[in-house]
Amino acid sequence: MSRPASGPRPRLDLTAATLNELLNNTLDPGYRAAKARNRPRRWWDGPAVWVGCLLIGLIFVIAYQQSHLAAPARDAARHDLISRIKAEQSTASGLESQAKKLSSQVGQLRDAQLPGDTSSVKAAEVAAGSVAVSGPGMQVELADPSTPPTQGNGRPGTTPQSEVAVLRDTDLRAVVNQLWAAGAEAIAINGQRLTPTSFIRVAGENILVDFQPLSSPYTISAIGDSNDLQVGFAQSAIARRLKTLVAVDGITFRFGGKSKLELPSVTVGQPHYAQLGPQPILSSPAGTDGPSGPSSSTGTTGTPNPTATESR
Amino acid sequence: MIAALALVVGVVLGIVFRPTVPIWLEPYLPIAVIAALDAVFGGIRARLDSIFDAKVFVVSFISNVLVAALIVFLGDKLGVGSQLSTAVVVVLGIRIFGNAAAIRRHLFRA
Repeated sequence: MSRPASGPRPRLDLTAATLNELLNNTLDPGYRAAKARNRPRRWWDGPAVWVGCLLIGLIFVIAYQQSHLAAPARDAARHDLISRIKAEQSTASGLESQAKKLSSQVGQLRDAQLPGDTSSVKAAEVAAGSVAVSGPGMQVELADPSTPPTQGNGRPGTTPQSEVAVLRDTDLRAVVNQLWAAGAEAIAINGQRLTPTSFIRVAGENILVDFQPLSSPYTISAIGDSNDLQVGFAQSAIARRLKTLVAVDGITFRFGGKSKLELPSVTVGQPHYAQLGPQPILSSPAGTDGPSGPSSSTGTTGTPNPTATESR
Repeated sequence: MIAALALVVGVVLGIVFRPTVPIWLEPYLPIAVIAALDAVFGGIRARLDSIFDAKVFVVSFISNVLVAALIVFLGDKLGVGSQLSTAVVVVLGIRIFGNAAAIRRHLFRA
């Protein structure tokens, strides 16, 4: 700052000198300075070098162990976890199939014992999703855009989740509700049968249907009168919204009738009923009318001739 | 010769005892390795130039490791840790290369 103003030369020299110093004078200048001082040798010179080299060797080995020997341990733990997950999944699917077999046995025994007409029981079973059904219907295919739209100079992997996963749980829910409203008797998403107590919600970045995570392409199969379903769905607001999403975000959206669809059953848990406690806390009863029942089952009541047939 | 022996003893000690490093020290290990390499090559070159000095060797090694770790620590706190790590690696790497070239000229006269 107090330097005489002589243009940019001193700055240039400084930079060049620094670079020269860095590139050509790689030896620590202390060595030369110490030599110039001509310091007499001390007794601790040898041990100091010894300890220094020992430390250096230790650092090399510790760094090697940290970076290389720790990796296989992490890998092994990961593989162990993966194998445990797969084992538990196969156990769960085995139990699931066993439960399905047992429930179909129960149904057969009950049919044998019950006198007279069991069609109302059958209809209730279809509505509850506890039996596998097959019949005509329609299928809606939805998929997130395969290639996320890149924003010019954005770094890879920085595309916001909202652009990759365009379809939300609300979209699936709207499609399913529209299908129920259009007269569907049974619906499954990616082979996951929906029951009156099913939920479609989002957890983190996954869409969960009855705690089963689903991923992009989504196939929603509905059994019912194929024509009614298609007409009802095509005129709905959600279909228009999805068509807009096709144009704006590039999702895949197709639907069409199917002459034969097969939907699996699910094991229906024991229903829980509300019970009156020993001492009512509120002075006035909360609700006077009875349980309203699952709204999703309304679609089954209006059809005089059920098209879904049991397939045991 | 003694120094090389000490280096080998350090490596063997590390293999035998497998000292565990606290987790907060782990990010500084690569930088410490680079600083140690710089000290080793500098020491060998000084030895070949016959201007080796034990005090300079030990003090420069320890201070290099500490300063490099400090720079990386500060960078982590400021959010530019990777850039400052790169700066340390570049500067020490240039020195290592220069010293290795000088050692090569000494040994092979080429």
